[in-house]
Amino acid sequence: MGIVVDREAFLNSLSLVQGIVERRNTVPILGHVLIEPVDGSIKLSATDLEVGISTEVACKSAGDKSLTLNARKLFEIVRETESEQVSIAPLEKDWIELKCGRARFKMMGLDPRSFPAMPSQSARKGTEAAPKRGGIKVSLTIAAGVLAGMIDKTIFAVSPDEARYNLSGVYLEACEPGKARMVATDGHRLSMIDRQVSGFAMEGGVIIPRKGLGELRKLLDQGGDAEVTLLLDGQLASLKRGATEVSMRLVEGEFPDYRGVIPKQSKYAITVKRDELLAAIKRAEIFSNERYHGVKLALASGTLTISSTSPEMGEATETLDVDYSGDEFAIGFNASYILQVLGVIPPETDVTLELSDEVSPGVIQIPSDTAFTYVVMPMRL
Amino acid sequence: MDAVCEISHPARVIAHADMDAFYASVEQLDNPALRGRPVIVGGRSNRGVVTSASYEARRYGVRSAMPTVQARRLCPDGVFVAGRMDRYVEVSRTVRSVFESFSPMVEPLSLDEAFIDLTGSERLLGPPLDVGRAMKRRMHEETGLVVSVGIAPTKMAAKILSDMSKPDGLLYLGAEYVTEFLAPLPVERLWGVGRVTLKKMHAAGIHTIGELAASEPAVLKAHFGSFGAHLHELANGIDPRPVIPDWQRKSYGEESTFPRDLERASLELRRILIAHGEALGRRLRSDRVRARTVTLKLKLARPLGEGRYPVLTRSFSLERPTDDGVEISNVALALLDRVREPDRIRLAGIHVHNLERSEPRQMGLFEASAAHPRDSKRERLNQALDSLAKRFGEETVTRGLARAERAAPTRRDK
Repeated sequence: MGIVVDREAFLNSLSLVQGIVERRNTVPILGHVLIEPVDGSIKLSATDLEVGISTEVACKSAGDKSLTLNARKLFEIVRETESEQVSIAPLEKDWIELKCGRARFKMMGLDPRSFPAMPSQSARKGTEAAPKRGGIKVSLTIAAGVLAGMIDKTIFAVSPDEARYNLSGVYLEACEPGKARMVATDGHRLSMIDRQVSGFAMEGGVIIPRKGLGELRKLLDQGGDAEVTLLLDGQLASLKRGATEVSMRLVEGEFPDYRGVIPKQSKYAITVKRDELLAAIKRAEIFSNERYHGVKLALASGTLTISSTSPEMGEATETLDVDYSGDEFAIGFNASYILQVLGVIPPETDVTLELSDEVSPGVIQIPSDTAFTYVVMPMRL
Repeated sequence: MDAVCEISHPARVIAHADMDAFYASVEQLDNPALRGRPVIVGGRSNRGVVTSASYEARRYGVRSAMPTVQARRLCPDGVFVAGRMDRYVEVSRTVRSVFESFSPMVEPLSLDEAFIDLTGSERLLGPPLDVGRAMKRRMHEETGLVVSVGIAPTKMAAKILSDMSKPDGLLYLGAEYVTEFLAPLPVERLWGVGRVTLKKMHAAGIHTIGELAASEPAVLKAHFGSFGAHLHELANGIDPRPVIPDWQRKSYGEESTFPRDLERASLELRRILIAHGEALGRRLRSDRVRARTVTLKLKLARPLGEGRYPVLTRSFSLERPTDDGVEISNVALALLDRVREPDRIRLAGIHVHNLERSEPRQMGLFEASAAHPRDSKRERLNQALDSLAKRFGEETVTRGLARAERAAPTRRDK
C-alpha cells in the first residue's frame, strides 16, 4: 500500500524541509527526505546533521513503509504538478514510483534505515559527547512575531565565514532577568536587540547557528502570532510549532565580548529619515567600488553628503539636510553594511546615526525602539 | 579569408597642467594687499634665488632661479617674501585632488605641476578642450588659483603646450599635427637637449626640431650614440613614455646631509632616521601606497677626493607592506645597528620601494585581539596624526625621539 497525499499540504511541508538538505551533496542521504508513516499521517524529516526539521502531513493513506527520496527533486515534482493528489508507492529495492495525475516518476530512494538521526534524537539519547555547556535547560516563551522580529534584526549580521565559528550564529542571552537579547556580528558590524520576555533567565548565553535559525524563522510565519517556545537543552535548540519541529546543534565557542565594542557615547548624533538615507546610499552605491562598496559620508553644518567615486565610471554625490553643527569630517563605510540594517528597519521611521570621527565606529539606532543598536566600523577609503 | 584585422591603438590624450606662478599666487591669494603687485618669493637675503615671481614681477624681467640681488635691481618696487613651504604643500593637496578628479592616472612632477592621462575618458568627460576648460574652472573654484593646461598625444608636446599657453592658457594639439607643431621650435625645447648637446647640434647645422627630425638617424647615431636615436624619435613626435601615477612609481626617499658629521652610534642620527621614517610614512599614506622594502642609505665622512664620499646602503624586505613610519624607521635603525664601518656619517636617508597600492580597508570591531593586535591601533593613530598634520602642519605632533627640525630633508625624491 502506498501513500496518497494532498498536493497542497505536501508541497507546503516539503518547502519547509527542503531548505535544510545538504546542497553540496557529498553524502547522498543528506540530500534526501525521510518519509515515515505515523498514526495515519506521514512524517517528513530532513537533516544536515547540524540542523534537523520534521513535520507531519495528514493524508488519505500513509502507507506502511518508510522510504527516502531526493528532497529537491521531490519538491520540484510536487511544485510542478497540477493534480490535486500525489501518490507514492515503493517498488523493489528502494525504487519508488510517484504518480501525479497522468505523470509518473520513477526514482531511486535510499535505505531508510541509513537515514541519520535528527540532532534532537542523537543529543537526547546521549549518543554524542556529553554537553559541555553544563546542561543548560532553559525555555524562552515568546510571541512568534516578536521572536521573528528579533531574528530579522540580527541574523543578517552573522558572519558568512564558517571558519569564524564563534561568529557563525546569533548569540542569545538574558541580558537581565526578564529580558532576552540577541546579538550578531561578523567582526565588522554588530546588530543587537532586546525584548521583554517575562520569566526568561539564563546563565551565560548560547550561539544559535545561522542556518538553523533561518529555518526556524520560516516556521514563525506559519500559524499566526501565538506564543512559541524555544527550548535550549544542553547543546541543542529546538522549537515546535504544530506538527513541525526544528532542532539544531548550538555553536560551540565563545561569543566575543560584544559589550566592549559598543561605544558608550559618540560625539555627534544626527537624525535622518530611514527611507531618505536608504535611497541616497543605494544611489551612491551604484558608483562605489564593486569589491569594497565604499561610500563616503561627509558631515558639515546642516548637511550630510553621501558620495562615491569610481575611476572607471564617474562619481555620485547627494546631500541630505540634517541638524548638525559640529566639526566637518568625512567617514567611509561599506554601503552594504548600512543598507542591510536600514533594510530591517521599518519604512517611515526616523533613525539616528551617531559618529565620533573617521576612525571610530558608527552607531545606528531607532528613536522609537531604543532596544535596538547597530554598530558599524568605518572603512578606510 | 586573408584579411588581417589590425587593432590600432588610439592616440593617447595627455594633459600637462601647471599652476601659474604658484608660490607667488598663493601669497597673493592669502594676502589681498599683494594682489596686482610684483611679488617675488625667495630668500629675502641677497644670497638667495627667486623661487617664484608673479606675472606683475615678470614684466620687469624677473624669472625663477634668478639671484635675488638681480631681481632687486630689475624690480626695486617688488614685494619680496620668504616662502611658506607648509602653506604651498597644503594648497598643493587641493591642486592634486582637482587633477585626480579627472583621472586616476596623475603623475605629479612637483607641487604645482602634473601629467594627467585622459586617454579613454572622452565618453566620460567630453572632448579634450572641454576637459581642459573644466579643469581650469574647477581649479579656480577649489583653490582660487589659475592653472595653464596643454593637451597633446605625448608628454613632451603637452608640456611644451602648457608652457606656451601661459598665463591662464589652454592649448590642445591633435595627434595628426604633432610633427608639424614641433618642427619650427628650437631644438633645445626637446627634453634632454642640454648645453653640450645643443652645441653639437648647432655644429651639425641642426637648429630646429624639424631639422633634427629630417636628419639621417645613422648620422645622429654617429654623433650622439643611442641618445641620438631617442632624440630623433622625440623630434618626430614619437614619445611613448607613459604617465606614471604616484602609486606606480618606484620608490620614496628622504635623506639629509648634516651640518656636521655624526657618530654612527649617536642618538642624534637615530632621531633623524626616526623623523625620516615618519615623513615617509606620511607620504605613503597620503599617496595611498604601502612599501615592502626599506633601504638605509649612509654617506660616510671619509673623503674620496673630488668632493666624493663612500655611500653605503642596506636593505630589508618586510613580510607585509607598510605605510607606518614607526615600522619604517625601526627597520632603518636595525639596519644601522648592523653597520660596522667606523666612520662618522655625513648623510643619512631612508628609501622605500616595492610599492603596492593600498586598497580600501574595512576596519574591524575586534581587531585588538586579532592576528595583528597592534595594527589597527597604530593605523588609527596614524590616521589621527595625518589629519592633525593636514590641519595644523606637519610638525604639530611628532614622535618624542624624532627631531624634525634637524631632519628637514635636504633632498626629497619626487
